[in-house]
Amino acid sequence: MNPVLARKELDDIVSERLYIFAFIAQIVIVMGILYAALLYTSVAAPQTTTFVQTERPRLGVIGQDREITSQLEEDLELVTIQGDPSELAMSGRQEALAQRIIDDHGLVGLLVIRSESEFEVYLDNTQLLSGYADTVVSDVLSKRAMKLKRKALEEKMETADIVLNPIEIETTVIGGEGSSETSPEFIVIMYGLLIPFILLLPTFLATNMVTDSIVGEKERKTYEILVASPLTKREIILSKTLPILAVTLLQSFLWILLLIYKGIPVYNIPLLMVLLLILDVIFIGIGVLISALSDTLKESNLTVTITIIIASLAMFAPLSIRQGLYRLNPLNLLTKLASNPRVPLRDLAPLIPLAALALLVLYAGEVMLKKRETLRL
Amino acid sequence: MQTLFKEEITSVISNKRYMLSLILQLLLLFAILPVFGSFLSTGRISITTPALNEFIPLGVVDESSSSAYLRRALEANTKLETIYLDRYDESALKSGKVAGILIIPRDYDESLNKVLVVRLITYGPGIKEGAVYDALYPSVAEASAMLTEKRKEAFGVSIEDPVKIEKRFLSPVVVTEGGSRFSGFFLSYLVPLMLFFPIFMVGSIILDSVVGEREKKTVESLLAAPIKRSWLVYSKFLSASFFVLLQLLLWLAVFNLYGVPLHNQGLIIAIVMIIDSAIIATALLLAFYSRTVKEANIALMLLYTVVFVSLIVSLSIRYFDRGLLATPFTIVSSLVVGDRTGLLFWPAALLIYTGLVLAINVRFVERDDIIFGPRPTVQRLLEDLALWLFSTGRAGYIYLTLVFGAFAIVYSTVLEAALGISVVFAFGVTNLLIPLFAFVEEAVKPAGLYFLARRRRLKRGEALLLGALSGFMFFALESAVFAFATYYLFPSRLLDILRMRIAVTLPIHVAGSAIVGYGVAERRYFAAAVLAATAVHTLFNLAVTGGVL
Repeated sequence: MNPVLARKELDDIVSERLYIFAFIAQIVIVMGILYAALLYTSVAAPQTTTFVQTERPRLGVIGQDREITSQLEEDLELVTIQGDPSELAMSGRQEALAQRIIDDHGLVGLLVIRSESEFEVYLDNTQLLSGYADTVVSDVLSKRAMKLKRKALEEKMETADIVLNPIEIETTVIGGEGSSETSPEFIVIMYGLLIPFILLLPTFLATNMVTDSIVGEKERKTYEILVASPLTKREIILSKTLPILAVTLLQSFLWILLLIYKGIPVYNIPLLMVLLLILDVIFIGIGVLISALSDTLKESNLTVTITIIIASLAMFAPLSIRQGLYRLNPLNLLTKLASNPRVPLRDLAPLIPLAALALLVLYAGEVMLKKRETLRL
Repeated sequence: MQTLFKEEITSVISNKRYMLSLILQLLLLFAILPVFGSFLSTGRISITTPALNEFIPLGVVDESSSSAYLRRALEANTKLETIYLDRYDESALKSGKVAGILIIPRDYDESLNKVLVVRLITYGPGIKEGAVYDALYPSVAEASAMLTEKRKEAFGVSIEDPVKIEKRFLSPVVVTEGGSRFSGFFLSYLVPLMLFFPIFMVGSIILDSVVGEREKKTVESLLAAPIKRSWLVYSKFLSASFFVLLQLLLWLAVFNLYGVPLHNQGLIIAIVMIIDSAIIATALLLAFYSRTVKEANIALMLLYTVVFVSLIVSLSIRYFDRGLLATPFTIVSSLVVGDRTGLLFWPAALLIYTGLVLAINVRFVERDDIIFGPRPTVQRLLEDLALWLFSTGRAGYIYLTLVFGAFAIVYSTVLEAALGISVVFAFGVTNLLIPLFAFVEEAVKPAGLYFLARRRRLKRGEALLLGALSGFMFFALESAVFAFATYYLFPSRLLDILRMRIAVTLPIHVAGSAIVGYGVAERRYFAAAVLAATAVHTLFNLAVTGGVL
């Protein structure tokens, strides 16, 4: 690596308004993501979070059933609607009537109790919280179904649970209560999706920075001067890519600190940084490859965009993969490292093939750059 | 102009890489829709990504000799990383090696007909504590189901489902094969979000078309041809709109193919294109003003960030109260599910905005300094605008104060929001905001006068009149915004609020701006004039907040 060239590249990066803007935009994105995660939790499980103070979803009820309504009242605000359930059935315009009732009373849905075992549920699925109300109602009605099954079975046998509920889970919590913001939905979305996305933002940007640096020089016709200098191809690539690598890793580290500052624990930071280093090298290597194949920034930008879309799909999309193969997905290891205080050594095995891939991609970029230069010059 | 338009279209179509990205987008949509469809077919939103495989490390202490069903179910659960332990180890829980420990006791025997109890121990302060039960439950339920079937046979009993539930979704739902259905979140949030993606992809076309032409120096030969300069603007606007429309139609075709129930598709296309036209016109303006591709890139990124954040925030806030926030984006969200409210105001306002911005674009292109350089500063442009508006004739006073009044409303709102947040964050006090906001408004209201005064000496009478008019215009525009918000939030109080504003707020605004206008004409009194106007305005604000008025 040539220190003078590397220093010049670093100066170019930190003074480039586009990258400064991208850095500020990332801060906004990270804060926005946190907000989105808390909002998602408030929709998926409003009872578990205090972030968004909303009224409980309102459910209208026609008909009488004390047991059902007392169970529903734990999670929903019930509004009793006067009316005869059988009249609603005979009207032939149930849905229109239900919609009117829902609109008039500001409800997310309507439960019609015909009898101990017959129910109709109307849901206004244009309202986000109707999904949560649906879940609550389904759970309560399942309990009713279980109760009736138990009653029917107990006429024939002593303990119905032997058949209905053969395995029970007894739960014990040691060490005190957890925090309300560690609700399962929040943890799953943060560590399963959003933290990997946040930490990989700088990585995706790195590919662009590499192509900007190399292809930009080609467009400005200064690349030929660089090639004509006594520097080797490897020195040129390292001098251009190492500053980008340093800046990218620094950004990822800053986002880790920001997450911790906002109360979201991130574990195994040193190992996490090693994984991010390997991923950064892979994407930087891809950037070198693209730079070798592109003559203009327009071409390279488009190729980078397509590459990032494919990479995102490959890493984030929930495709059906044979058990065991998903361990090769770097996000799997990233999530494990970030969310578990301790990770067994065997789980770190994917680092080896990933590191090998990183070196291979970088080497391929170097070879392609040399080959294409020969053709150009 | 037809020729220019065809040229623009051809240059995009002939670029193989643009076409490739269009095809890739469609493939992406084909890939995304089934994924969202399978996520959201139950009422519950659930997230499944590869990162969540083996998300919960569960220690298992199996003391039993007959637990085959449960072990099989545990190992098939991709969310669990099953770690078999020889004995219960509390330190493994506390250190985070495992998120929970499942103890299968010695008396757990699946061959016996009895209720089997397993024990799950979790560590409260552990971050995954709450998620362990949720992850484990499906495995226990699966093993339970297998045992239920076995025992039904053993006891010779059958269990019918005694409860009859009819569930109906009131907005039309398409039931495809397999019983998939689409939830409200998908229809009123994700679909509108995806419908706006084409606008984010047209930025590179605009960049290439406007700034790229200037960098490649092909604009000179274009201007040498016998064409109107305005045709340049319209041809680029139309070609960008054409590609946005094409992508939008393709995406709608994919949605229809997949069976997503979209209502009012014609209206959706119209409204989305009206919104997109406003964004394209603005993007063109930024591109014309930029000197280089990089500068234009930054400007477009800023614009797209604002658009994207507005889109996400308005769709997110919508779920609090459908009537609370009516933005152009939420209108599309409503149309998707069959609700046609709010169709008048926003489309009309956006069409007017687009017309105005295109007119500004045409003015830009007619200036040689914009096309060839040196590029005039924004201040210079505003001064030119102020002078031009004022010189249009007798109505010049009105045009100047109206146009710059709109500018002042936006500028003062942004400034007040930024200052407000900073002051509260830095000092933790809100009292300081009263004089601060008054100062901002009094300083910004006569914006037109400032720019005009830099190019033309103003007489005292002219400045007083312009100042008063600026105050009036600011009041009128502010009242329109108030009226709009009040109509949605407290419709019964609309007239009272308007009456109060006319009686009290109007004289304050007019008087304050007239004073500042005097200060613009007599420059040595400018600072004193602004302070005096601020003092009057502050007293008024205090009276209002103190409940005197």
